[in-house]
Amino acid sequence: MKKLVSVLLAGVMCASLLTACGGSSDNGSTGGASAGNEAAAGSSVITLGCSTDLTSLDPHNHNDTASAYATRHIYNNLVKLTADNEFVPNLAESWEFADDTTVNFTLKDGVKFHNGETLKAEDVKFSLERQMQSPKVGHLLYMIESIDVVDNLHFTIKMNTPSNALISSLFHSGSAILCKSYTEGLEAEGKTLESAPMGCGPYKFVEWVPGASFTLEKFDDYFDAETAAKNDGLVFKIISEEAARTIALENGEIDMLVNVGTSDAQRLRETKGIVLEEYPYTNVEYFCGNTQKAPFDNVLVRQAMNYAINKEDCAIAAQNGEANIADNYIGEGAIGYYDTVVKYEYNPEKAKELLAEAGYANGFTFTVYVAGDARARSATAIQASLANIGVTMNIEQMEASTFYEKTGNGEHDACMAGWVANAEPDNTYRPLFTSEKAGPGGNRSFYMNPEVDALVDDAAINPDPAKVQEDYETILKTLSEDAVWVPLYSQKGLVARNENLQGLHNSSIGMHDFYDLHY
Amino acid sequence: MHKYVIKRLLMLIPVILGVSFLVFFIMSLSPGDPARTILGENAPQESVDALRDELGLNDPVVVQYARYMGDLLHGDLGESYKSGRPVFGEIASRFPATLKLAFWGMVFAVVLSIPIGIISATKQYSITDSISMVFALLGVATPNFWLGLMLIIAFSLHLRWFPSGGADAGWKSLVLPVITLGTGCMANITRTTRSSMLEVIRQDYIRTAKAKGVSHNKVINRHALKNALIPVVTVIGLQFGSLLGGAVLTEAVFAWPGIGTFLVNSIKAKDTPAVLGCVIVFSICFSIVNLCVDLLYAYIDPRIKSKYK
Repeated sequence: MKKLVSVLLAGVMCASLLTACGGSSDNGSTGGASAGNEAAAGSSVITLGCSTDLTSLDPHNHNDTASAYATRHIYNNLVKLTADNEFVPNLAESWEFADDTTVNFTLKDGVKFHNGETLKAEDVKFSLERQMQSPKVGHLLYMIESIDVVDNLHFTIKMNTPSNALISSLFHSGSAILCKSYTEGLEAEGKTLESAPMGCGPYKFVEWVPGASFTLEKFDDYFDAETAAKNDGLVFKIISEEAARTIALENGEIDMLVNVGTSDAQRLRETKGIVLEEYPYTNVEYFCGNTQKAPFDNVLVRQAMNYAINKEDCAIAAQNGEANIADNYIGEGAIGYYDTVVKYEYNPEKAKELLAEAGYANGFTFTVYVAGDARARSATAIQASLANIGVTMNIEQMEASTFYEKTGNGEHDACMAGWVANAEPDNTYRPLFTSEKAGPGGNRSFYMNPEVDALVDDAAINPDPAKVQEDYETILKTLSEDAVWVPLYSQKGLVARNENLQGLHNSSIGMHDFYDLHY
Repeated sequence: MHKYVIKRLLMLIPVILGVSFLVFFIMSLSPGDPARTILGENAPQESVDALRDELGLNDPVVVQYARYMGDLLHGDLGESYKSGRPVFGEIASRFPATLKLAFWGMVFAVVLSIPIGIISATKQYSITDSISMVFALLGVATPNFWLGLMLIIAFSLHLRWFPSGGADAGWKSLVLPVITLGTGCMANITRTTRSSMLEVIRQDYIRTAKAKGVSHNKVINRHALKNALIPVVTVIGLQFGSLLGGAVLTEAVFAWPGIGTFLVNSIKAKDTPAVLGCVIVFSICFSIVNLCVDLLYAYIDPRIKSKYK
């Protein structure tokens, strides 16, 4: 008996180790196809794998993508964004600018909340005013002075300054419309939307098990047949470990993987029954010197950096090659992207010439601040590139909050960071490149150019779209001529799904729509 | 005995004070701004400033600590900076899952390790002993996350016996995480049992018992094992405490909805109330488990009981 126990134990351990070690390469045979068939035969509840748990179910209490996945499907907004990056009415029937600072809105008639109440202009006023009090998403509506209800279906927003950002801000998940009577009733009982979120989105809230899963079910009285749920419900399964997420998809435990790790992307491409979708993501990763300090206060040195750094190496080191080389200062899928930048090809000889011209023929030494492992890997590639032109770069990797603090204070010679553009270009250009935002505001290159400041201000308020485009084109040209950054790469947006699963609407800003998912 | 238990429970107060003081000040000394971390890189500075105000982060650290301790005396663990929800609720919703995993991990470890340890000791230098010790060493040396992934690939992806993660498939959900978590403990307890048994079975009274004709099984189970258990129980207690706090990687690999992932995310976000809440709960659990271990000594060895005053 004792021997048997020992032998059994040894056998189990050996079997598990041997099977595991030998099995990883055979990933083409199982995969999601069988899972898809099972799903097609059974319920049409779609299970999605996510890497991060939600922060909050109150749209005014979060500003993160994971929470937005959930709240965007429970609540709804006045405005929606089309695949062509155009803002169109959603809960709003229409809007009209009466003058530069006054917008008249008309609501769609007969929109129902999940509790059966009908959407009214009072609900909009309540929601937006509640949002304006939020430290997390209140800033989005900085331009609103007042909201005046005309009748149940009409209201007017008065702005304290002309702003092109109003409509895009109304699309943000933080600008979700709540039911006034329900929310006030809930709060009067000492409860919050965290435990019982309710809106007029295509799905009703069912359950949230913190750290594990989040479940929604189809709302049958949804107002818009086109964007109504085509499945019975959605389950968001939280799997923080990258390899375990991939295995869950291969195993058929989930139907779609929202956050595909770059190390697993190639494996998923080759797995039968699984489709890996790529979409343009609005992120740009960049290297920037502190333009207020030598030697990066010299435009020739900054241009030399642009010629010297091998961006391909950075993309491979940081993202396993699952990235597109970037020349621009804003992601290709973003609103406000224009291809007017000066492009610097990889040319170490030219970089050496520029350094010599700048008075650094023998190179120089500096330290770059980095947060995050991917950027640190990218930094080692840059280190090697710069060594070729006689420049020594020391890498100091630190935790993210320390990085923000130190680079915000301007303690850095250079740093590496990234930016994900959202639906409003002013939210990219202003924090990254204007003098008022130098330091903790987001402008970590400390680039200060009154001409760019004026153009950013004009683009934010000018009602003429052609002039706005011209402003942004000029800004991008100026930034690239001044070589403010070395744009490195844009991450690829990657979503993996069962090949039989249809109806995913990808969003370049990561706000994917899941209502249409079906087998 | 009762007095001893009460005395030990009262000792929890300085433990909690010490732990909370250390954690609070270490968290406040570490650089970085929780408001910036929570709102993200893209958030405007005005929002960061507003959130700092709301969280009371502009007050001196001593004031923040005093405020926290004042709330703690009323049983309030505060609100998470990140989610704004009460920390007590956040922990209460996750802790049972961690406790369940740690408990079954320990059951798995104890049920297998003690018999293996005994067999190894009684058959010292045999093939069985060598195999057991090789696996004990492997168990100690194998990283949790690697073993977990290997088990998922083998038993979930290929054999399809168990789910790869989550806690919604009943006992099946428990099997792989329990093996992953319990293996390291099992190896430790096996080694301790073996060495403790080896020491005891060389004692004179064991030889005397054998000389008197007492059967081998009786000598091992009634005379040797009981006397060898004190260090084993100590190790089990320590391991259980570390399982509660150390299940972070296992929880991450198996998407187990426990407190480990919550703690790690809270540390990353500099969410001091959440970190403090978790650490205080761990400290209390660790202290209680150790108290139970001490009380068990009295039942294993009645001589110790007289010292509990």
